[in-house]
Amino acid sequence: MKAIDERKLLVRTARGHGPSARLLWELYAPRLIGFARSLLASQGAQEHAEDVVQIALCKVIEVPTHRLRKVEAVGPWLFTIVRTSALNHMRGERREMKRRVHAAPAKDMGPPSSFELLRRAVEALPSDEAEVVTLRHAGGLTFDQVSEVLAIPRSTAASRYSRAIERLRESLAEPEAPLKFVEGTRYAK
Amino acid sequence: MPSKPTQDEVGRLLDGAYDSSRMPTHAGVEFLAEAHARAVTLWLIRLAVVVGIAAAVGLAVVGYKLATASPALPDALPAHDDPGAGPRNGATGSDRMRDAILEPLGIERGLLVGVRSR
Repeated sequence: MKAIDERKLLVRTARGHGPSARLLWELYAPRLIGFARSLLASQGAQEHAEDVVQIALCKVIEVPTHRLRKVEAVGPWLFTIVRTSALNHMRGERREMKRRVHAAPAKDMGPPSSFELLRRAVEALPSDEAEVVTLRHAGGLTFDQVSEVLAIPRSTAASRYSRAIERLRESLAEPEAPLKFVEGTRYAK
Repeated sequence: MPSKPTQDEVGRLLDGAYDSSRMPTHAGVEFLAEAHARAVTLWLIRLAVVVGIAAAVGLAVVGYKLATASPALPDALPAHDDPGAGPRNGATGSDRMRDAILEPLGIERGLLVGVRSR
């Protein structure tokens, strides 16, 4: 399969090339949404993740093409934009979330797969740890790139990751235990 | 009670869990609609630019042609003393004036010319 030049894909999308927009969405949306979910989970607003990613990508295609050509690494850049978009969303939504007694129950989609359960376990981590894990595994970013996206030292990113993995190890060892790492989390088995 | 998975195992499980093919799919309707709207807008802008350039070029050509065209010159008037002038080039203003004077007197213009030429 021919390797995709992601920067060209961005530029073409910004120029209004429909197939490129679709390909960009298919290529990045699932991982970006997974990342956005891990951020929004702290407010029980995971269902807004797709909206957040769509808003972020709509902003991306408004960026002038000469600036898009200067993007060095498309993946980390997109994750940074989605993070900003999610944080803005959370600031806007905070008041509404505090008023909520319970988050709306998710639609019954049948029993979740083991991967779905693991993703939920990640979302139940403290958000600073969850975002490191999702950037590493959903985004495929290196620790250097993670530290750039989060604007933290590399060592901090690595230690958050280690703590998160340790929590997940415990969670996987006790599958019957509720998926609960932080106070007030919404997930329970 | 199952044993704790190693860090590497957890890492592999996470890689699997966040593999795009295993993630829920999303339609991205709004983003794709926005991208389509942008495509239409850009297409209209390009069309307007092309039409504008074509109109400017057309106006420039017409303006140039008008500016460089020589003005229509009137027919050469016969000199008063030119005996061959007049009927040869059609009726000029002076011929018509002469006819207006001579006709009531019953004198033909050709006759008068003949007299002059003699």
